[in-house]
This record gives sequence, C-alpha cells and structure tokens, in this order.
Amino acid sequence: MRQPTLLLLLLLLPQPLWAFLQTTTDDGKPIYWTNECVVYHINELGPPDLADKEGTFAAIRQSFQTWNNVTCSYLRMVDGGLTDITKSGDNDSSRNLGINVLIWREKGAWPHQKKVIALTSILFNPDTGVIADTDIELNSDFSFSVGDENVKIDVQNTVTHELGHTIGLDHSTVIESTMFASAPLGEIKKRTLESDDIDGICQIYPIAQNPNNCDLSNVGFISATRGTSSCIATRYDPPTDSRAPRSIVLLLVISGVCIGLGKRHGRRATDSL
Amino acid sequence: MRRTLTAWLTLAVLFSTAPAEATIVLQLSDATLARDADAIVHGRVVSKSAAWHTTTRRIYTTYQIEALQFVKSPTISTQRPRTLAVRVLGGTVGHYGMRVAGTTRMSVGDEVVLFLERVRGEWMVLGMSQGKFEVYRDAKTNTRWVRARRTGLTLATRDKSGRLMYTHAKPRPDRRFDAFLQQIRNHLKAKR
Repeated sequence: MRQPTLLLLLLLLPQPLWAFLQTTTDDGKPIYWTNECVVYHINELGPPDLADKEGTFAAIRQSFQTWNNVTCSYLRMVDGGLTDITKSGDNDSSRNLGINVLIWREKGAWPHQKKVIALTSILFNPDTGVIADTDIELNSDFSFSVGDENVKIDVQNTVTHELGHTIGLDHSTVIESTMFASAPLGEIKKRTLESDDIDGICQIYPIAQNPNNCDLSNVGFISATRGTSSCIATRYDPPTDSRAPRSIVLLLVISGVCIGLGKRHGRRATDSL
Repeated sequence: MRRTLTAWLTLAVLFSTAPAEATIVLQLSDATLARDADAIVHGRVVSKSAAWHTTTRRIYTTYQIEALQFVKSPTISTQRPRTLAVRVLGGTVGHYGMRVAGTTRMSVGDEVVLFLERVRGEWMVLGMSQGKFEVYRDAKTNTRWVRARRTGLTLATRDKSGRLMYTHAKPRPDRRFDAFLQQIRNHLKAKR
C-alpha cells in the first residue's frame, strides 16, 4: 500500500482505536478493583461555601448512579453513606484500608500545593494492580456549584469524571467522552457518560465476568474515632498465599458483626441528610 | 524527504492526543512560578525514599536535592542549604503503591530546576509537575537544555472576568538552560 494511502486511512480511522485508557502501575500493569461493588463515603461536611448541602450529596449520588446505569458492566458504585473521616490514603491509624472517601478540604486547610483544585489518589498493590483504596479531595478555596443555574465548578460533572479515575480509567482521547481531560467552566455534559466511557468500564468489568462478591459490610456511617465506627471489613491484605484464607475468615467474621451495626449507622446516615 | 514527512505526519496523528490524568491545577506561567516560588533551585537528585507519613497516612516520596545554585534563595532562611528535602505525594512502600496524577517523579542523578513552595513545613514542587524542569545536555552541541513535562494534569486558567476554564496540558518546547535561567531572573527582577 502506498504511504499517502496509508496515512489517509490512519486519518480516517474511527477514534476508538486510541480511545479510553486504563491507568497502570509504574511497570505497566493495569489497575482495577477485584470486587463487584466499590463503596464510597462522602464526608459529612460537604463544600463549606455551598448552602445546598443536600443538593450536593444528591449530585454525588447521581454520579454514582450514572456509572451504575451501564448494563454491560458488573461494577457497582455504592453510596456508603456519610463519614466524618477526614483522612485520605490509609484512612486511619489502625491501617484499615478500603474506606473510599470523597471530601472537601476546608478553606485554608488544603494539605497539598496551593494551586491544586482537585486531586484523586489511588492506593493499589504494585505487584498486581489491584486497587485497595481511592479518595477524591476537592479544594474549598475554589467555588463549586450544583444545579443548572450559576454554574461554577459543577459538582456532578467533576465527580462523575473523577469516579471514572477511581475505577482505573485514565483520560480518554475522545473529546466528547466524560473521561476526556478538559472541561470548560460551567460544563455539565460530563454528568452523563458517552459510548467511550461505557466501553471503558465494560472492558475492565464485563458483566459476563461478574465475580458476585459484593461486600456491603462497610455501608453506613463510618466514624474516624474507632469507638463509634460501624465496621470496616474491606481490608487490603498483601498478596501472600498464606494470608489469603485468614483474610477471608476475617472478612466473614467482621461482615457478620457489621450487619447489625451497619443498619444502625445506616439509619444515622440517613437521618443526618 | 517525502517518506520522512509521511512518517512524521503518521506519528503526529498517532500521538497528537497524549493521555493524561486526574489532578486539576491552576496553570502557572514562568512569571507566576518565579513570583510564587518560595525557592528556586537548580540541583541534582542524590537520593529518594518513600514512606508512610505518620499523621496524614499517605505515602510520600522524599527526594534529596543537592543544590548546585539557587536562582531564588529560600524565603524562610537567610542561609542557603546544600541540600533540600522535597516531598512528593505518592510512591511505593512494600506492597502498597500510591498514585496521584500530575505529581513530579524524579530519578537519582537527574539534574533539575525546581520551583518550590513551603507547605506545612515541607518543600513541595509548586503547581505539581509544572514546577519541575529537567536539565539535559545535547551531546552534539554540548549545550544544556531544559524540558518541561506537565503530564497528568488538567490545567485551569482564569478568563478576564476571573472565571475558571479548564484546558489540557500541552507540551512546551525545550529551552536553552542559560536563557531559561536568565528569563527566570528577569521575572524576579521585574517583580521587585
């Protein structure tokens, strides 16, 4: 084939050939969740300069739902309720991982570089790429908004995009997709997904390969003080075969204990809305 | 000639939309970097180590930077330290890896120009990866150049009314090292 013809064909190729991308470890392993369900907790404080706190939480829940509406993927984003946890990363000193927190840092309390508006961190096993924890931090020194009027940095738009990152999706090269990098101020089109985003989640988490291991034991209000916390059963164990059976037993035991607690704290979470 | 042109065009088509990641940060010009930095150091990475931060429970990688020269002396001290510890979010500790898009990554031996800010008593790179410039030598001409890599960032800029607009971080052309430093010094003089 002549080179100009080849070039022309390349130009005419549909974009999906280099569309959605999966985030990888340093040595190129794709990162992903092994669970059917990923539970997220929203810090109860919400954005300090947004009076419509309920509207903000509803917008975030709508972002979860947007991803959950994809029928060709088994992955489910679960609203775990509210939390007063303010730490990201390894969320508490007892080294319980897997508490995925979405948090607005208070004005003047942003712990990172001052010019950063939003930051998503992902904790994973570098040997396997399995995600253990992910947190979204938003800087309250910048103005966010919900709803269709006076749109600033739209909460639902931003969170839907960031949630894509928390499940292992990198930025897409498709301009129309939710996972495209750029978003003009006031943009709301990323509230919904485009075919490229759907291709991404379905490729990584195809419905036909559902592991059916949805662990909802840490749903409900989770307190930063261990004394009043409900349960934190989604542990991350280093990948050694000898530990695997123990972690399963531990998970089952904690899950059993948490059923009752989860209901109680779930009620608290609902009440506090 | 035609074949070379075709090859370059093909490459341009393939790589014209490079992937990036999730951190949203204000876009900083050289002048803003110079103005807002608490220190600007030209140095070399002599060591790096990752550890859990005891209070924030995050993994940070600490780079020890041997200062070859200060373009802007640390504003917190009258003394010019020989080394600076620069802390970057993310890294690998045992079976845990933490990834935050847009953070600076360096290797031991790298020669860099870093625009640093002081955050809660620690040196951090200003504007995430925007504040790091790699220094490399062109073997043919024996000249030094600086290269900016702003991968992993979604940049936000303000329009005339102060509203934020997001934009994809575009690659910046490499610049001659001496000219770059002089430009930074000019920005610093203009600031005064």
